[in-house]
Amino acid sequence: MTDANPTDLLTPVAVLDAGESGCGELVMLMAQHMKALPPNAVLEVRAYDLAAAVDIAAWCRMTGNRLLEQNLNTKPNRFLIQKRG
Amino acid sequence: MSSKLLINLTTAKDNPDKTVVAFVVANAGVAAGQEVVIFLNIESVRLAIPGYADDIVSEGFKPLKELLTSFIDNGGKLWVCPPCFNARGLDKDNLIKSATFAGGAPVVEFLAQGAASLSY
Repeated sequence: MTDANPTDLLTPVAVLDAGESGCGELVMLMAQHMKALPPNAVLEVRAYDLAAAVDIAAWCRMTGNRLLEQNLNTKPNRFLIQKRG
Repeated sequence: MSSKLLINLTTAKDNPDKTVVAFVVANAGVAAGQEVVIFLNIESVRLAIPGYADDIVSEGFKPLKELLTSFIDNGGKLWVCPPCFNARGLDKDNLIKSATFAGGAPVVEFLAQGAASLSY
């Protein structure tokens, strides 16, 4: 997933290393980290969970945050999520 | 009326009756044209391993192997909870057809979209 925004807007201001967390724990960690950020800020999430891509996409759809990019070829998987404005 | 049904299943060989009945009801759902997801969590994650369900039976019902095949062949989906799966040391690269890893967020989203739910 890519975005037309300038690159500087996609630079994460915070990194969440979620480790092996999954299911409800992963998205709870994301919610807590996102709460501390200003609107439109980008959070990088690193996660090993087998369903990280599925869970994070669903969480973004429900919360209105934007999944800007995901890289599933790395371990951990990496995700860039922009907080809703 | 919702066209989605979520069956939350927590058992496998530890409770064959409950496990089989969950699939009987799930099959009633797919037979009625519903979008049916069985969320496999706790012990039921073992059902996603090929062959594991083959010897699970409950008196009065078809063998689970047959029910599982019907469910999958008619479009039913199996969502496997990753932490429950990992906790049992199972092989993530060897899942049965139509089983995918999915955790709490897609389950909640499915429910929020209006899915009815039953828990076994």
